[in-house]
Amino acid sequence: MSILQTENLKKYYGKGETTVKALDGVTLTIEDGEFVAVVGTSGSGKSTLLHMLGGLDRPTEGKVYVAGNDIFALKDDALTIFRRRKIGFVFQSYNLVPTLNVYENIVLPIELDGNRVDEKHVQSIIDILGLKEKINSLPSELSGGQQQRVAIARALATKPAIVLADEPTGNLDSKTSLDVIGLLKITSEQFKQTIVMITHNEEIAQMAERIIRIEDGRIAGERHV
Amino acid sequence: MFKVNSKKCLTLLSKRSLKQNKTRNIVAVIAIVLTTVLFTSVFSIGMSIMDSLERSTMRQVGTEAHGGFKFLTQEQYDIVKADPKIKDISYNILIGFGENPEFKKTYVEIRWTEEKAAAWSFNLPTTGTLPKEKMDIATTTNVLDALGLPHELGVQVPLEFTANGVKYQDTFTLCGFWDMDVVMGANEAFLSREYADLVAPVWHESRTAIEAEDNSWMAGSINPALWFNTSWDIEGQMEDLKNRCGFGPEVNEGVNWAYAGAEMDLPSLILMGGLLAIIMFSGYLIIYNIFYISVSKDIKFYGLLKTIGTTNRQLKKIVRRQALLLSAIGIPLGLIFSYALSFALVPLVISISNLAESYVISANWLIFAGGALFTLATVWVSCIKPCAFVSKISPMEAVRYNEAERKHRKTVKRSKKSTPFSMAAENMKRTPKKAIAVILSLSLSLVCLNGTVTLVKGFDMDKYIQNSVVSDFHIADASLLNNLSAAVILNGVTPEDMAEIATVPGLTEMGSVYMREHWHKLSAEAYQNAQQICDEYQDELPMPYVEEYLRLLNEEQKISAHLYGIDDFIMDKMEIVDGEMDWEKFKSGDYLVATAFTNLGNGRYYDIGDKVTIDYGDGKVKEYEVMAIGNIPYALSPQHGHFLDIYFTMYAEEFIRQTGEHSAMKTAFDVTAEEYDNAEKWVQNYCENVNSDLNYKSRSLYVEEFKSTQNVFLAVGGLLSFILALIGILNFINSMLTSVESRKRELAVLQAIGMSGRQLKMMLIGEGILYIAGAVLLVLVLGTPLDYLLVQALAAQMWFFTYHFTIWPLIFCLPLLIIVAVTVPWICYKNICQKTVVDRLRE
Repeated sequence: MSILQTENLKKYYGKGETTVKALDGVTLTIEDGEFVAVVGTSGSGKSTLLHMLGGLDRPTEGKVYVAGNDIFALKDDALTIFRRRKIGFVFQSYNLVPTLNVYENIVLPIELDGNRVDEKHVQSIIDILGLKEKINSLPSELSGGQQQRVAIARALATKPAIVLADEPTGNLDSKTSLDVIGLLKITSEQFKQTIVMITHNEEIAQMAERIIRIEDGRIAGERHV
Repeated sequence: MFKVNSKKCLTLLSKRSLKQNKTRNIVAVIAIVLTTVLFTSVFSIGMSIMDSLERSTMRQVGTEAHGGFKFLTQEQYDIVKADPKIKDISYNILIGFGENPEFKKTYVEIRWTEEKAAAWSFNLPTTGTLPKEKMDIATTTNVLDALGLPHELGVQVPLEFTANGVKYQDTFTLCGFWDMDVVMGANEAFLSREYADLVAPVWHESRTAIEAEDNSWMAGSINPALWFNTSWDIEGQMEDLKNRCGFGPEVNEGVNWAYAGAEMDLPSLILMGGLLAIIMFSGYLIIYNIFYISVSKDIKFYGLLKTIGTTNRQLKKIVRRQALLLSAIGIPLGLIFSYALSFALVPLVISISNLAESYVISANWLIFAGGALFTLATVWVSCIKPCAFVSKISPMEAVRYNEAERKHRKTVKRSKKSTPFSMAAENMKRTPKKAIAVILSLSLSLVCLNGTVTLVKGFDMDKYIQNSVVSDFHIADASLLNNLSAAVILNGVTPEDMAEIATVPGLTEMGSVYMREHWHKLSAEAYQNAQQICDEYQDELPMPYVEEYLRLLNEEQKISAHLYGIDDFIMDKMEIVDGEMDWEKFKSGDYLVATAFTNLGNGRYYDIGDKVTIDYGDGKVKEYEVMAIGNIPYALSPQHGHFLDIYFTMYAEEFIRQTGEHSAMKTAFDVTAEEYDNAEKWVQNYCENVNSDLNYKSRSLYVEEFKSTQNVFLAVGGLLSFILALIGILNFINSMLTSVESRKRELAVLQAIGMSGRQLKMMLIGEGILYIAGAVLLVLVLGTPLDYLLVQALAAQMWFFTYHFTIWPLIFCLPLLIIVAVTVPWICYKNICQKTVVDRLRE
């Protein structure tokens, strides 16, 4: 069953001669539980694609379906709510709330939704990601790898339909990077979690089940690992 | 829709965000405190003036009760008392009027009273009590003074009066006394109920004046004072009460017009509204700026909250909640400050309005509620834009947002060399909204200060004094010079007084104005003119006050008139608007000067050359010819009158011959400059010790009065400008601090690529100077015309105002502003220099 689908997705910036075609007709389907890597050189449009998939930015043309819902048919606030319920984000720069401790950061999306925290689920995520000792620390007290693990935990906490990871290892050294991706892969298997990851690092991409290559805003190739 | 309960989590986020922004919080709290102080001060001054007006009117009326009846029987009183719509009622019984020979100038009413009724009429003993024993008496110190008795309890007080036609002469024991208000006309002397029942038994049958020869028929009547539940439409409530009680027109009722009179006039309302708007705007400028800067600084934080699913509504709530928490600290603090401040400010303001004796500091909860509410509204409004900014920005943009970036920056072509100053100008353009807010904020206080000074400097002392005094001194009965006196004596200066005045040291010239009021019967022609005047000036006649005058005019062809007689000294001070004066002919006594309806001479009952017949009573009638249209100078007039009045001025000799009145209304005189001080001492002594019924006005008294009026405006306007200036400077400091803070890295880069510390300092100071320059320019271009309009509107009702273009307050403030503009960036620079360039680059 496909959990994520795009139809002829386009995103243009600017007008006339100066138009930049960041995405130029991307159509793809991702199955439930898949761990997909999107690769491409810088400026290829892979980040733009991820923003579209997550509803962070609206496309010029085309559609995105998440679990069967046309997400851009939603209004801003409704889209935001959809996002926090169905999509988990992991950013290159972690994007943790500096004023909240590790635990508070992880459960923030749940609480923003006004829901009770599923303690068992959150605890198992914290265990798997090895954050047990750090749950009362502030982000500034953590190393880069630890911060990224908190971000992954936060993305998983709401039991989203998909997790979107934008260069999750971009700020990390190679050993830590492999650790973090290893954890991402384990959680994908453990929780049957669909994950779409963007990277320009071929070695890291190899850990995914499927690799999609983007160049000049179009899909340039695709292969299963 | 999506109703979620995320309150706890939002509160957590707001609180943590608050903790993160300590400097901003302090600045915001100070701003909120200042705004609250401004609002509350304006409210408290306004309310206190209104309250004091009301109190002082009440004291003239003689009671604070809503209304009352006069001359009721016991049975009638019981009916009124039983009425369910009355909140409270109390009464006194009239016994008589003091007839001791010592009471010639002292009006004494003798009563028995309930304690409440005494309190409502401001007549409770401050020493001792109301009568308890049969022969007790409680009265004013005025009465004791008149009788030459000491202010001591137990003193024997002799009293003479007539009740029900029987003359009584008894001696009472003083059991209580109090100082009577100068404003109130009558002194009270309270006796015991036992004594009252003896000489003036309570009425059981109505009586009217017609049955009696003197006013002793009033003895034994019940005079109740009462309160309704609200002070709204007391007249109507009283009418209803009368109907419910079944009282006819024979029953006298009275309402306390103090409750009707306390309305604000239009100019005051405009002034008040304008002030509130200015304060709100100033508060808006700073609170908006604080939050806008803070939100831009934290935009990454808001952006990432957005990426993980915080809705716009929730983001707005986070911003609003911070503002509200800061208000929760700032507003109570502001209220405490302004409470303290009002004790200093209100008496100052009240002191010009002739209410000095009766001012009340309104510590009314309404003032504080109003101050708090307006501040809260200001904070709320100030948050609208920052909230919109947070919710508009897209999450990805927010994460990348940099305050220094403008959205649609066109390519910049510049051939000029980059200097610290040109860079400073560029820096200001990066955040235009912030720059505008700071510049407006600074200019607001300058406009206010300039306006205040323009207003105060525009008070024209010459105009003011000319209108009030035409001679160095003038003397009159004290009642005439006291604005609050109800009844005035028009012949207070006796020939003996005039003889004494003639001996004043340094006297150069003197002369008197004599006056009599009467009903003047118009000639047939004059009556026609009068009707024309009524038609023409219909809109200016204040109804219903003139109704009675119109009735008299139409039924009996009579209008109220003043008849003046003037000495030679006054003649060249006459204000003639039309016609030629031939003073020799005038002195013959067959001519007079008449007034017209307006001071400009329009609307004449009698024109030049017309014949006027004046009836002096007792069959004494004389015909005069109008020589000119004009009036005596305002300063020497009785300063009261009615619409439709006419004033005739004739030579003093003729006036005395016809009326037999030898005492003058006012006597004016000039002295030599050298002897002015001695003359002043002489007059002061004369009015205090020789003839205490007289009072005087001198040129120097008016100069003082004028200066104190000026000072009050200066103090209030100055204080307002000062607080506005504090807000403006605070706004400047805040935006300078935050801008340097947010550009820390950028500044380090500049230094790394070779900008010297001196150049960097110059650039920052340049930014500061540009803010000030912007503010000054704005004041010059927009502020001064605005001041002109504002001041004109305000001063429209002040006849002693002349507009002068004023700019020196601005020039005076300039050095101060420049000091601020230089020191604040300098401190910011010192602050960032605590870390090395390398450290700052790494951050």
